[in-house]
Amino acid sequence: MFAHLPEETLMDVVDGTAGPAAREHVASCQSCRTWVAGAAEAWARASDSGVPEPSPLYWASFRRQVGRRIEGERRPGAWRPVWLLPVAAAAALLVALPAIRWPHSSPSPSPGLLPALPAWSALPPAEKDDGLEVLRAVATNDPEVAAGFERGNLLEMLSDLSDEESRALAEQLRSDVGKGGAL
Amino acid sequence: MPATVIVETLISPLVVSAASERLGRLASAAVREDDLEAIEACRRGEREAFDRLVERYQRDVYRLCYRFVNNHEDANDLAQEAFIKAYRALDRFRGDSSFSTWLYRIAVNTCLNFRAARKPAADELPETLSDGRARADESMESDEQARRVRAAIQRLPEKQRATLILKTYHDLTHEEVARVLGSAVGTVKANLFYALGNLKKMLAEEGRG
Repeated sequence: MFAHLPEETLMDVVDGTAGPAAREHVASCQSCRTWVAGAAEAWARASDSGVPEPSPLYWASFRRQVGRRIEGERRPGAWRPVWLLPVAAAAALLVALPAIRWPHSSPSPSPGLLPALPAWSALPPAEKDDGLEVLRAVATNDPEVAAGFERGNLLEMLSDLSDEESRALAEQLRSDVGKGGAL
Repeated sequence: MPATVIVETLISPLVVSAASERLGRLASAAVREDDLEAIEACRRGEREAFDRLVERYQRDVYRLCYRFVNNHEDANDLAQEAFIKAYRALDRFRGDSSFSTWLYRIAVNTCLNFRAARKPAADELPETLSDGRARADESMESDEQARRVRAAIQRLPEKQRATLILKTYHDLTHEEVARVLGSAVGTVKANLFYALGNLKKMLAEEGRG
């Protein structure tokens, strides 16, 4: 495109790092001088075009959001909620138990006559929830889970899960429930 | 003779310039050292140490992303994404370059991937701009001018755009831009050459319009 000076050298002239020979050429060459002047002007206009500055409060919020997302994701090699696996298994078992056909149980109606299950049903109160004992019995095998129960912060621990971990847990539950025949 | 004149005579501009350059280098070395300390702390599991890095670089990363996408919402998402990717990859940061160079590289790649996935290819210019293209022009107030320059930069081919953004708005040397983009210094200069040529044509056409 420019036979006079190579592109790199012209750029050196624009940003003021070119050697004397290149500068002398540009000073005496109309074509190169015009290009350098045009490029320098375009560069100056580009430099002057600021980015709209967000509110000062934005940066603190930005930091918090990044921190929250990182907390949710956890670093590779860092703490993993290993206690979730037995809890997931126990929960799946709890859901699946009523659906298991025990040999001594009365014949169940045909699947076509079963009432449709609601998409969500409330758990019974803790004092009437027999399943909770089963869950505790399984869960307390793991000291971390036991601690979670003791502190009563299971929900908090669950809410700390990243999207990926939540999906894995949901997948595990679905798979276990599916095997138990509850769905 | 007044003291100020004596001081001005004794301290020549060259001395001031050398002292200022030395101070700049010392400050930059201190920042680099603090970055490394924060990274080591993160590797030990002290997540809060990463806040220091976010605080130090959030403005630069946000502005870098803004230059690529030209709107706050996407710039915010991309800047957050860049930091999170950096955090996930901290174990792989070897310290060959400064943390800021490494972080910029992640941010640039995040932006390029985003644009590749979202942006219709037709919006982008060919590698060199034909002289016949013309754009409508309106008032030339400074905000409007800035918006137009940003919009023109958006239309540059991606390597030219990335080079121009890093060189112009982040004050990186050609060598640093080359490290961020993973290319040769000569390529950086050539990309900048064509970026400025294209930008000049686009702005001139707007002026004529």
